[in-house]
Amino acid sequence: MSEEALDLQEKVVVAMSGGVDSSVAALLLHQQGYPVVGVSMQVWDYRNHGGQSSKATCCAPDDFTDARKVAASIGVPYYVVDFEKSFRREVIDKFVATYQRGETPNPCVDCNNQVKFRELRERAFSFGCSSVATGHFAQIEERDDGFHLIRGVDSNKDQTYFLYGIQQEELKNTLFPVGGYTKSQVRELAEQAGLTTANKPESQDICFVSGSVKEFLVKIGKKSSTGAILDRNGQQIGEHDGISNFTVGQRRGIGVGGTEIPLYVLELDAKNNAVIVGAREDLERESFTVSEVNWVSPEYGPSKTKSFKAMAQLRHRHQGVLVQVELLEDGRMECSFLEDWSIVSPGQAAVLYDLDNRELLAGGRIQRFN
Amino acid sequence: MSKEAINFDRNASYGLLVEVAGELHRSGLQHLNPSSIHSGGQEARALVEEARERVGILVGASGSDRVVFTSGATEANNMAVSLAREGKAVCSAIEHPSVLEPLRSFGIDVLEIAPLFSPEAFLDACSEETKVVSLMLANNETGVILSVKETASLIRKHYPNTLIHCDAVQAAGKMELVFSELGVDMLTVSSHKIGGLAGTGALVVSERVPTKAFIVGGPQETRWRGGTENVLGVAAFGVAAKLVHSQLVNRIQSMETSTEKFEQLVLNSISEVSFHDFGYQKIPNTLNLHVPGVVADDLVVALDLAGLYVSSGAACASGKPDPSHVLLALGLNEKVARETLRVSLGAEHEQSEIELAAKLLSEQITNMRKVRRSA
Repeated sequence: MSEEALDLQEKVVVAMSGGVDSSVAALLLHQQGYPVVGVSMQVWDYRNHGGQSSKATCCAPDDFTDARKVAASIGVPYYVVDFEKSFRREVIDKFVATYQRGETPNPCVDCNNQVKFRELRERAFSFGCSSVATGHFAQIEERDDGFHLIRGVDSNKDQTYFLYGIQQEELKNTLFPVGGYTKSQVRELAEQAGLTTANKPESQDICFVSGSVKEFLVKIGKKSSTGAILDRNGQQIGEHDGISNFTVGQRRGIGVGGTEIPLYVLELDAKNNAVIVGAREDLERESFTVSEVNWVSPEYGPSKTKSFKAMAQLRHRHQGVLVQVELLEDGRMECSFLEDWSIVSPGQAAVLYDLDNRELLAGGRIQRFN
Repeated sequence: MSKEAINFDRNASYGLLVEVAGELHRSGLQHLNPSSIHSGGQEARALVEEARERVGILVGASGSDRVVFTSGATEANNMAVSLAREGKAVCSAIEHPSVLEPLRSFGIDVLEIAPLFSPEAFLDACSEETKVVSLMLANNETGVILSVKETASLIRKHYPNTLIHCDAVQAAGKMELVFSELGVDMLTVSSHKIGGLAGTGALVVSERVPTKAFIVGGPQETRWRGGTENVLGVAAFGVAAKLVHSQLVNRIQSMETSTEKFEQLVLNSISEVSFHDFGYQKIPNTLNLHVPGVVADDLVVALDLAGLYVSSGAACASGKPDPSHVLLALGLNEKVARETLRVSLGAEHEQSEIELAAKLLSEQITNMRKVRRSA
């Protein structure tokens, strides 16, 4: 849906989590003269699942208080808006289902794709606002051929990996005000402006999980059951307490001691509720397939070059690895390692960047191996 | 408050009357302790007593009734309800949370009667053991007027020992209110709902109610409520009460005219909307607009950004508004309740303001429908 058909003002909805990044995003836009509307997204009803504290999670009532204070000190209106239904459907339900399939979900990607950049944008339009801004460390460059998504200058904090699902139409009226700053510069700006969140610790892990994933699944009524840890030959060498506690490629926390070599999770067998482990070399692959591909860069796509090299990022904290990309007829991408191989986890996002590892080209989900 | 914004959320807070602000400046902000013997205390005492008289006149109290100043209607309601501690109580299901919450938490065995009740049905719920009944006169969310006088009369006849409390917070200043004729023992009123400052209210008690302080710690308010009186707040209450009472007929007329005009403009300019009719008489300033397919909470935000203040039921501390218990109790389903806007007008609107408000509402609903989000 294009916003030209609607009669919108130039106001910008800034998604405020109560953290320092989004606080400074709002601050910067306000200083630059944009009419800012601060919005906290209520995605999770804390009254039923936990409480007030913002210690390990994000967007708890304490965080709203912080966001409200920041909005008031900047001098912009602030609202808490209900996104619970959408979040449950697009993020939580998917999160649970993915684990139960034996894959590792990527809730932050789902949230960005569906909730932040689709639903929030729609809500912003319904409020008569024409743009959305977040505190993501990312940058947008407008060129003749369209909008390009670029990593944030702080390579340690860059969050473009989670934004691979964004559409051109969305980039057109999205702003990432802090992408051009380092994290410490952001904190400094907050401090200079006297914002209450200047020194607030970052929320770790998944915003809606305050303990372990296992505890979370139990809390929402999905129990994990114990099962066998098997070696490649199918011999049982241990017991696990739920396959959702494991990710392919994981090394720590397997709980099987006394082996000569370090063990890695090779595969999660949801059908038999088993975790298959082996040596690191057993994880080595030549290639992997990416489905549900979203093309971001206007220079790439199914109608453009079908074969190219790219830097593939396979996890949040991953340096990236050089791959040869081949577009398949059905829209999927086949990626082959050109130099080193990297551990590949089905269900995780694979995001392609240009050879400078700077511009995000496309992204999708790593498919299960056959 | 943005100077240009139109306030159609008067039931939340009326807004300080210009005359009240003026009077406060005139009499000054400096007030000493009314209990002090010296002249400073005497001046403060005089202000408090004058205000007390005016609030008494506003509610139609008689000479033997007592006006007890409190920190607000919530405290007054807590006071009244606490007289049922460790006993039984009956109230309507659409009472304000400041009545419902203490009833549910003071060890009281409370029965909440769904509205559209007859006085007889309410009586049936009472017994010899009922210590207190509480019935609001006008509901804050919908404006509906409950049959307090008839119900009180029945209860008084059958259970003369039961104390009858009436929350008249929304009724005061919007309809005729005569405490001595209502047949109740206790009545709550609030200053900021009639154009005074928030932080002051009153519980009016008839002489048969035994003195029982809720806030204990001083002999103030004839031992009904300890603590140094909020002279500034009380004085403001008195000024508002005097003004509202003396102009009551005109104010009611003005509210009726404004509300009717607004209703007309809305129905003529916006398709597929309707105003709820709950089958009760209402105070003249409150409307509930149903906007199918639109989430009222979102509309409130859009309207605020456009310069019109309205509301959509209770907003709670977790940041997530729940559907109004009142709308649900009055028979709306959850979806419709979430699509319902509350509009509550004042008594001083210009025609142009009404027209602008209707226009803003139309524009925002139109935009929202285009964006097509469903509840």
